[in-house]
Amino acid sequence: MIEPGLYHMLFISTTLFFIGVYGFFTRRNLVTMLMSVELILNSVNLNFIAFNKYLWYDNE
Amino acid sequence: MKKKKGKKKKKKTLLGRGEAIMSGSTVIFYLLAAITLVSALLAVTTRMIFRAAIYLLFALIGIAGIYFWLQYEFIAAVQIIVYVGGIVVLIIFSIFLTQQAGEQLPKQKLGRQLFAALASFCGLALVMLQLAQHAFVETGNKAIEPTVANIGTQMLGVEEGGYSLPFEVVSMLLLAALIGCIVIALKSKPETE
Repeated sequence: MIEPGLYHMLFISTTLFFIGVYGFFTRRNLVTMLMSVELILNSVNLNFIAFNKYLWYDNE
Repeated sequence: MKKKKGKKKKKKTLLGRGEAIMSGSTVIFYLLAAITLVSALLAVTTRMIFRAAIYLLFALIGIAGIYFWLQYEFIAAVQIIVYVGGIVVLIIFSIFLTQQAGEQLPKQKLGRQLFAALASFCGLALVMLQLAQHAFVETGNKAIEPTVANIGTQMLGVEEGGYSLPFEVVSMLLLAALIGCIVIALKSKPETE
């Protein structure tokens, strides 16, 4: 296994996003659709944080 | 079954001896990622609505663990407080108030499921291809160090680069949502008799 980096985080967040999209399409129930939307929002947050962590320019 | 698993593990470690030794933190990362993705998948596929909420809880905890792993303790704490403490509890309350928690959801049509799986898989493949081709470079701008003190001064700062105005705008939005909820809840149904 490779040391985790930016692409690992992006892989996780992309997969999480499309899991959420799948749930949003298949569910009929409003509460479960809300749960899928939560997954999507969390994947976006994870993306932001991954970019902050790994593309932070450090000029020290 | 168990014996087989043990044998497999031994073989793997023997093979991996020549290569770089896997560190503990890497193992923890893959474990957290697996927990998150598997419980998210279970949350969207299970037909028991209460179980879906619990799987969602585990997925959110896994994401909080990833934030801890990245050493963003403040964001991880906020993730636990807001999502695990707030949103999951809200979802569980709404399940108990609006649905029969013990019953299974009606089965979905196979065509619909296939369509959703195909659409999300195609999207996943598209984004993965884009990610594989794109090389991300570091920005020239230096971000603030994500300590709690820095985040606090940045969020409430009124000088240039402070986030005081968006913070207040968001709080107004929250207030509007609260008042809207109360108005919707107060609206009495017209008598049907």
